[in-house]
Amino acid sequence: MSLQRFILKRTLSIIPIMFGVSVITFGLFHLTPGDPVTQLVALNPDVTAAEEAALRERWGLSGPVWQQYLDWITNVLVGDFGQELRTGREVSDIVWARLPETVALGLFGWAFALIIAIPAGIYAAVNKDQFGDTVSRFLALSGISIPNFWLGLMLILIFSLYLGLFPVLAPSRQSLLSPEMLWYLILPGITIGTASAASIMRVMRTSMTEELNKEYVTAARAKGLPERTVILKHVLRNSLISVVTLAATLTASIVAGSVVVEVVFNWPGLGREFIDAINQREINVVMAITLFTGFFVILANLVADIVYAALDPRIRYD
Amino acid sequence: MPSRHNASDSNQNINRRNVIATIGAAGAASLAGCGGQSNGGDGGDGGDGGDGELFPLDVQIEVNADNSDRLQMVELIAESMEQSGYFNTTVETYEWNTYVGRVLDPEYQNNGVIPCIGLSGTFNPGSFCNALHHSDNIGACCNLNGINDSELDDLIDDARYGVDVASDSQLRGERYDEVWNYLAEERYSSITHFDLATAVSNTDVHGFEMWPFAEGTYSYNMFAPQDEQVMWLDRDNAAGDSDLSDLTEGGTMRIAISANVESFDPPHSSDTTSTLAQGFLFEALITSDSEGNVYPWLAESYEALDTQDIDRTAYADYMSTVGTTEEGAVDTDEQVIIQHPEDSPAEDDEVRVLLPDDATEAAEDGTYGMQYRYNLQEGVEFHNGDELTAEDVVATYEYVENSVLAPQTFDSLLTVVQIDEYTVDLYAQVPDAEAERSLPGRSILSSSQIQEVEKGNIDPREGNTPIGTGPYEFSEFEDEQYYEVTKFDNYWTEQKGVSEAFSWFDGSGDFPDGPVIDDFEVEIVPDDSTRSGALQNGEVDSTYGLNTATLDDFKSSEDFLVYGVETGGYEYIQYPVNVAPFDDARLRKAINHLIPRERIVENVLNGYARPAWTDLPALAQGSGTADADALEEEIRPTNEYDVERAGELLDQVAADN
Amino acid sequence: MTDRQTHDERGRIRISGFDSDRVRDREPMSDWTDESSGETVGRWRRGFRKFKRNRSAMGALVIVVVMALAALFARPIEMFGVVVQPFSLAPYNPTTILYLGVDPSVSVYDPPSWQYPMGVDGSGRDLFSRLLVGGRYSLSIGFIVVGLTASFGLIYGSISGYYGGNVDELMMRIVDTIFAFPGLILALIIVAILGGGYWQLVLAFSLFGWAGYGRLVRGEVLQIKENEYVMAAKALGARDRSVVFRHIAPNAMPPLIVLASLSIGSVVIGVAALGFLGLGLDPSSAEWGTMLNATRDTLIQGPGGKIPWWATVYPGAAIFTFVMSMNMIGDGINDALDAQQTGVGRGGED
Repeated sequence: MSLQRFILKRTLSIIPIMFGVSVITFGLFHLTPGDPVTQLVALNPDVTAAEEAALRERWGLSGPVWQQYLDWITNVLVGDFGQELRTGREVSDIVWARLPETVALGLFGWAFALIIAIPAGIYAAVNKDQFGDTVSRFLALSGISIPNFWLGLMLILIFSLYLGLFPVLAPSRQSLLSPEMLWYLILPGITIGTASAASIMRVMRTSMTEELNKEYVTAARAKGLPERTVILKHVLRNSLISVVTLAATLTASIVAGSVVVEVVFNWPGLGREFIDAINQREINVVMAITLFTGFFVILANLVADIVYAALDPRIRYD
Repeated sequence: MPSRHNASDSNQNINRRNVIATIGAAGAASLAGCGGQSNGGDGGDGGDGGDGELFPLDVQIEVNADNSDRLQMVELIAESMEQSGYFNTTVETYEWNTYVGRVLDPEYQNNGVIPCIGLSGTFNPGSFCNALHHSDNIGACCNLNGINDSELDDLIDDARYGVDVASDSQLRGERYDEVWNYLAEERYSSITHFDLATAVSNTDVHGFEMWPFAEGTYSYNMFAPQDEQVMWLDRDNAAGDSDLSDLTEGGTMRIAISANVESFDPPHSSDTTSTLAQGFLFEALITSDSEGNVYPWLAESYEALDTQDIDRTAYADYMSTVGTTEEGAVDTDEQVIIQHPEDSPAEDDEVRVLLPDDATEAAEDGTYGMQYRYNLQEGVEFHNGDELTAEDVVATYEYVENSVLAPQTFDSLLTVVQIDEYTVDLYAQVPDAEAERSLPGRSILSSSQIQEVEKGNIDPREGNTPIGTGPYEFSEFEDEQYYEVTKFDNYWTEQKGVSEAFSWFDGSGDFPDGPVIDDFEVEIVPDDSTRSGALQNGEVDSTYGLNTATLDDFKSSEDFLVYGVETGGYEYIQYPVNVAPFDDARLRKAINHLIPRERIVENVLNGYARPAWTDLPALAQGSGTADADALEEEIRPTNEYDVERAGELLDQVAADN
Repeated sequence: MTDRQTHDERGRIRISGFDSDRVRDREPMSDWTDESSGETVGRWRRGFRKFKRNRSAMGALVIVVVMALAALFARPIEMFGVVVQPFSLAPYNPTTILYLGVDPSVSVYDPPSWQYPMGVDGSGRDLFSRLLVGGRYSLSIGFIVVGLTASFGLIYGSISGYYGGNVDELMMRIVDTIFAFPGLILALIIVAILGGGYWQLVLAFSLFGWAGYGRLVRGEVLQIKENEYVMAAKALGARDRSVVFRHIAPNAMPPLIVLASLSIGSVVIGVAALGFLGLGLDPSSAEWGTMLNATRDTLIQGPGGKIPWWATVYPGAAIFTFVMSMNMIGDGINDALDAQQTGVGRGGED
């Protein structure tokens, strides 16, 4: 099978998964007692019985479950997630408005993870079983074990409050592209990226170690190539491939992490919107973000697989 | 402005009127999120087991989880009861919306549990007894445990309605004293404390004073000649000892508020921050000083023309008959002004109701409780250039029909009738001692805007700029982020001069003719600690509602000033009086003696509250008692933390079982 | 370190995963599968010996045992009115408000002292006692969830891998779908729907948490079933069920155990995260994440105010210590059993 055919096949394979994701999202919210209209009526005195029925009709809550699902998914496919119950604002507007903040945070977290983890991984592999390796392995294990919300709180406590180096507050009116934004991004970015950095470092170390034992490395060394060249030119390239395999999983973990980290830092992104929506029982918002998350992770997986397939000459596509 | 005061923060207190109308019909118990709470649901039933031993009694106290101070208070009460040895207490918490649905269910009273909730009262003393105890409010807000005591109902009604109390404030105070004494004897509920509203400003803000209702704080401070109150900005000199002679004009004041503006449409919103925003833009016929005394405002003057001794059945001849729905609601799209007291939508297929046109007809025929006449100020200009006339007032009250504020408006108001271009009459349904404050409380809107927009859409998000007569014009709004208002050039009091505009004004000649600050930038920052940080970083000049634990730090800082005043906000627990053994008043009184009110105020609220030694806060003492000191002296002993007395009472209860 | 040699192949399969075809591409068995035919017992014994020599893993084990015992003996336990555990390591009941009755001089957020070694929390309760008792929630939920999910995942993966074909295809699509949601997001939604509470939390993390085990076991099964002894058993007419449960499942155990030991940490962090977001247990309960949530707003004080660091540092440190120890144990088991690296790379969030 050619690479093109693999990509096509792989891309088609996400369709049933996307379907499954939408079914789970819908099912979770609609098989529980108390639909959104019941709630709205409970909280709003001016809704008459006739209006209530009309609302049900409008939000597709009147027919059988499969009919409701079809109505819902048809609307979702054209980007209509319905309205926020309390304010009547379009959910898709809310999601789009909050998305850039979360993307900025996620990208910063990724950048931080790569910048820290790759050199650390190389260092640990090259100095395997020496003191530096032990320390960095211990740090990596700590990075995986530390709860990100506590890490965030500790960073605020130490760097913002005791040392006064960073702002405590989330940005309110700064543009995402302004340079001051970097200042606001550093602590939440580190918080969200730490676990990923630790995971990447561990994978880097393992795969580097493995590559370093391979014949071609021994051969290259025997040829008298400087160690630096061997490592940076040959070993690193092959090891980085294994980081790509981790990318999708880490993207999912950064997405989940953004929920917690945005709450810790009052970051005005999708994650905090998600928690607010859960607390206010804004079902349409929660569903939209859930579905969005699912699709995003699927796409991240797809991209990672394709990149991996393209990069790794050893893979067979059949 | 009065009668707007039961607006509230959604996470703090219930806006009573807002939820009344349908909650009973909806049942509301099926809100998502209820499922997990059943584990302790029957905890309160454990106490009446038949083994003869009443104590230790299993008691469950319930509270919403998202208000940490309230939760701490409940934990403290539970722990105090536990330590007495007579009770095994459990605390059950619920998410706010779930909790509201739960406690407002009429069936809730059968659970035998003690709920804790907060309410915002007003200058009206009734807001501290009626809402909690009147049988009309069962299944509504906030008679949660079904207290149904007709003797008490009559006492409460007689203190507000009737020709005698409407004309004699001393008598009214005495009537309320009877209510408080009766409640102390029965102790259906325990009010724990009255909140202190606090605001913190940096020292650039001069002349600031706290208003007893958070939503009115900034509009009160910008210009309130009735209390000779005005704030100004002076970034060169520190506030503290400055007085009116130091006043400087201009500047942009930045404030941080705690929640988004749900709507700029006055009658279609009642939350704190919406009301706060509308305070810059709109005005009412009257205003009020910090003690609740009423002053004419957009009305140059007003007078009570007539009072007639009637009750609501007198309108029977004018009523229309309408059907009811299966859920037990009245089936009409029109505003129901009065529903015949003898009909019940839940039981009857048809009910008699007074609709707006009927009400006007009745008033014009001479059937009404009270008639007030308002003479409007001439030359008041709306932001769009129109002049205020009686037509705007009539249109405003029509616009209120079927709005969020309709229930609280039309529980007293009968109708509004235009007399001439600058004169309107407001009629009350029955003789009502609160009429002077409650009838004219609505923000006056422009009739031309009302004609243009769909109901509820006076909001920038709907493409409509709110137009009022207020000193500031709407300028910019970014949803959930910020809004800005700028000074209105043709503000009417500035055109006229303050002493010209208000015949009652007798203040200093230094007092300005209108607000002196040019612009307000209002940041929406829901998180308390973020607001605190923004203030400390100099990003805003003033904010309110900060965590009480941090207020002492601000107080001792030279850069900030903390302002506080007792408000109408209060919290209470209510006993399940219809479930044994809570039907025994001695048990309720005993638990009341186990509530450590001083500890709650000191340790939970860091001193920023006042223990509720009586059910009446300072705010409402003006019309709520004949003699506040005597009342406190009499009732305070029943509300003291007194473990010994509680033990005696409980031993008596045990002996009788 | 032979276990690392096939690492990137493993990692790829676990992560990319949507393409079941690719499982067959991987390099043939690592050493442990070859020996699995007859020496399973010996392998466990050797693994145990190797684990004992791993000092950091043993140290971590001691910490976990101490924390578990401390939680167990923190306060007496009563069942059906009978005291089954009379010891009381914690000096105070976790709900006792010290200034009420015990010691009126205490006020909220008193700093650590001899009498209250970790200070006093925002409701005037002894933090040390709460921390000890709080371990009960995190630890027990962690172990229960992992027990449930690993068992279900084992069955699910075995069936899927053994039958292959359309059954496998469908079952793996379900797993893929679940994998599209970060675990914490699903748990949040379930708790939002069901409300908070102990068993709700267990359900929230169990309902979808088995998917990782399912996929892992299925991969192992695919390998094992190619083994001669399994083929032989089938050829001899052994019933499907007995083949799966006699031969295949036991051999899939080592990687399963590694994943399980590493997952306990993830679940504990997840429970704490929900508590921290105010969606887990009762806000007044002594669960560690919930305790952090309760003191979150103390971080920003007024001008010149002192931050009660102890209320934030200690509960978080407890979570961290426990999870770190569990991960070290997991790594230790991994090395000892020569199972390939399985799950630690997944990080703490999901």
